[in-house]
Amino acid sequence: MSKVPLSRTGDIVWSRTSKTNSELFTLTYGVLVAQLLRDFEGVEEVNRELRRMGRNIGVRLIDEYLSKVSLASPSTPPCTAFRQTGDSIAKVAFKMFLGITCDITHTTDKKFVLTLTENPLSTFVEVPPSREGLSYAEILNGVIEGALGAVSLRVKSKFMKQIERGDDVTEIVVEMIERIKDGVGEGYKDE
Amino acid sequence: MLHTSGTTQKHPLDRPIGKGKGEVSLSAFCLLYSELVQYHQSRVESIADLEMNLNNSGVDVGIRILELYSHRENGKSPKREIRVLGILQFLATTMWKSLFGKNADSLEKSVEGENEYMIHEKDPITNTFVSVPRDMGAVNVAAYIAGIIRGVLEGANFPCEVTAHFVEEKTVFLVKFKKEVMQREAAFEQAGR
Repeated sequence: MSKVPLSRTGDIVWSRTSKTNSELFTLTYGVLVAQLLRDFEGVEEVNRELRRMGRNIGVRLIDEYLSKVSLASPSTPPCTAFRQTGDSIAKVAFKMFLGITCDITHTTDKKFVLTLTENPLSTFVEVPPSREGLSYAEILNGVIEGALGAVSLRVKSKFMKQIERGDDVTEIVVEMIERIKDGVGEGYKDE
Repeated sequence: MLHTSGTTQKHPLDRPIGKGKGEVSLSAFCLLYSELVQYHQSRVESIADLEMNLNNSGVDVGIRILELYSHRENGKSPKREIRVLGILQFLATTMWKSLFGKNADSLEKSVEGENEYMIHEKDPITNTFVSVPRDMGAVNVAAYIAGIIRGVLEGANFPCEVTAHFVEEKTVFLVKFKKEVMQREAAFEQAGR
């Protein structure tokens, strides 16, 4: 079975995807964050809400990811190690949804760092000092956690660096906590 | 606090504004937009309020779009649209094309009111994966685009109201200019500009 490099898979899926203007996306996200900042008391609550929204998106987005990738590259085997999961996120997932690729560094078998030189969520953004604790693109962490949670991987995703706070790159650290055991969920046990 | 020193990333104001050709996947936008709609929906009592909130969100986008495009489209000699038709054409062609990848399906003057114009759009991007539940009746989530239109128009000093309606499966954006806009328009007409 010939092995297609992941970045190639990412390009194929991207070329087949319907796309839209990234500025509309950027500004829409900005409106959302601004709305939350008006509605909630502190930045911590805003971060939490953004992360919650991200999880919602993640659990839906993983379906599209799995189906499109299996169509674009049927020979790609499912990820069996967390390292492969990381590579797939960096080379395929970021490409197919946001049109960018990112670099990945595996620090251990259960932890990797994604490095983004640009972030479509925060193109025009600078976080003002008065909103010091705001993790502007926090929704991304939620998406990663939500998506991996849907394939039985409980992970913790957080920012180390953020461009919109003056860093030269955005760095996301993703760490695996545990593999969620298969089995019947609590809610279904009686049926 | 300007964080410029020693990093390769410049302050947003020092970066080039780009050509606006960047793209993300349609589903990424729709998933994000869906969260915006759900958020507003969880905080309102009525459909009218939901549409109003989406509309207000859109305004914030419209104002920025106008600013961005004015810088970009006109290069070194920025032009300011002062006539109703000029700004509407800008909306239905330049802006529509950049944001949604196509021109608006049509731009018409309403027969009902002197101050009313309609922009027709068959498939607004916000409605791509949306099916409206029965109990929510005629809600049109393109209210957000109506807001963007209003933001652009008000940013260019054409105070107005913009609403989104379903008309035979299509979406129609109804623009109603305020009285002062029509008075100014009449003054231009007289002055022969």
